[in-house]
Amino acid sequence: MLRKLIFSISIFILAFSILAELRIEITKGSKDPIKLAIVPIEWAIDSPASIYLHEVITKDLEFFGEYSILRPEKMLSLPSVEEELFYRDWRLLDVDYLLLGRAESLSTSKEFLDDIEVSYSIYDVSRQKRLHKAYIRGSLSSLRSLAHGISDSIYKKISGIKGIFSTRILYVDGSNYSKNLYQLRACDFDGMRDLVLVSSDAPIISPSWSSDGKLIAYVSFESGTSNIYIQSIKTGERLLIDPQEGLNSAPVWSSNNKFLAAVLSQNGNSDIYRYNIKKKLWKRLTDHYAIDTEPDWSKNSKKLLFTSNRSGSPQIYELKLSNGRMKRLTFKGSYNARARYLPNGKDIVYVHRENGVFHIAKQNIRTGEMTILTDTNLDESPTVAPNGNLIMYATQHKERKVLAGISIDGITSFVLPSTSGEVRDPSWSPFLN
Amino acid sequence: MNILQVIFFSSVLICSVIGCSVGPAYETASDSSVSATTINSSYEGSTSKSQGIYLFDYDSSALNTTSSNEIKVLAQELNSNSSLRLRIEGHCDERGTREYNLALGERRAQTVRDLLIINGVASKRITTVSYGEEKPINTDSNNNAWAENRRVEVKAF
Repeated sequence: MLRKLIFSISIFILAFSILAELRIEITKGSKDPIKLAIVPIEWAIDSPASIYLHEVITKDLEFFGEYSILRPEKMLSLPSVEEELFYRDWRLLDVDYLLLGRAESLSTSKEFLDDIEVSYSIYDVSRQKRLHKAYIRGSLSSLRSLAHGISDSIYKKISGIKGIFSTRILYVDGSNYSKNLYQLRACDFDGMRDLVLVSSDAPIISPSWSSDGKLIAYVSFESGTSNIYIQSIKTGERLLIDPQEGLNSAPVWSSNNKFLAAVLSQNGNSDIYRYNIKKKLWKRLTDHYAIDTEPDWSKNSKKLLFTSNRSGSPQIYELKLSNGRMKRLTFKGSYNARARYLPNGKDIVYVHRENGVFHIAKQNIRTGEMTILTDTNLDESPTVAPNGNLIMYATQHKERKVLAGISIDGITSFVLPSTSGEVRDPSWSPFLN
Repeated sequence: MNILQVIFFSSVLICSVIGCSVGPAYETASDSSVSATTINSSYEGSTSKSQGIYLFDYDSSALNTTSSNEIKVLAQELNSNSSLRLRIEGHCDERGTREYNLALGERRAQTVRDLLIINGVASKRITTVSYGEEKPINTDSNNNAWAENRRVEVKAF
């Protein structure tokens, strides 16, 4: 009787945990999602964990509207191994792909925090063949991460590019502004597992992830002016980057983690500089009396994007580091700023003002062709997912400052509301797995 | 109501209240450990007194005539009390990008600083900083609020 009680309670707690925490609103979505059936994962341990795993994978893949997951109630059969699989049962349900899986404990003891292994196979229903077979190991205490790993694997095999389900978002929480409390926080791509990394009584801006995901850089006003800090995610240990007179801001990491590109105004106006982290040396990269700011490195570290008002108002420029040559990229409108490269190095996204409204725009560098991606306004701080498919940015939504996202093709958009009333300055992590 | 139902309903209630940090052993906050850092700011002039606030037009770092005249008067007052040090803080409204606004705020602060220096205030008495859009006076999103936020504050200590 007691065991039944505990069992029922844990199921209900689990169900409510999942439902209450995910407050995502999908505002637009793909019209033709891929139909995937995930057969309830056979679990040799305990079934609430199986439900949990199933729920997280389902929510991951449906998050951007690219997939539609068939619910178990609709299944005609529940094969647990390939031998029990009849493709006809799935063709009848108009399913494109099928996932079968099985979880097992690797530990011989009966301790709750177990090491487990989930083995799974993905099947192509119309071609009637197995696409992929793999296993993933993790622990029960981090089942969510394990689920995200499976989602990444499914996404890679079916959609053909790496999934971002294991990535994290760094952002600033300014909702306690009136109490002089600013926080730098990180959460999963879907807003879960939110953690505080820095709590300060002075403003924090421009957080950015190192390319290996282990360090962050940000600007803090704790000394009464802007200074750049590097911090270890794991230990919280901080390093003040050699401060110069004037502004010290907009830090971004090079792909090899050796350099930061940043903004200094020690010569009277803001210019782009490169900082060698090990040697603690600043090197000036732009030299103009205009405002030069908001650098971004190309993936091969050979070029930098930056914002400059040298033509009279903010526009995007590209600097080739080998020869110092600069090219103006934006010509539409009088305010184009805060550009970020897509991983392909061929396209950029940036903040574009049109008729007084700030949107996120995408542009091809070579052709100059530009598209406005968002229909929200007061948009700022676009950050690009490491697979290049999604952009997250800060905007206003129902009078709150939120993080919103849009797919690079403009089809899917979503809002990531948080319990806080003011979140901003997002930075998307690199791939972490 | 039997005991099972009582426990069920209480756990639902508790869950909704806690907001579910109750994912039991399936959801530690993160797989790898994370440490939080607490910062307490301190700097010279943090308790300084405001000597004047000057407003700016959108996208501009130019002073209007009224402000220029006020600053000239301020320069004279400051020259008669040369022990005072100054902290000039530049600000912007929330529109546009944060880092560009940091630079624009600095331009505004420099404009005020330069005018004080021209009117005889020694430059070594002055520190110029920009907060960009990070410290608004008015957090609403309308023209009035934005106008209040586009400012430079001169503080003495």
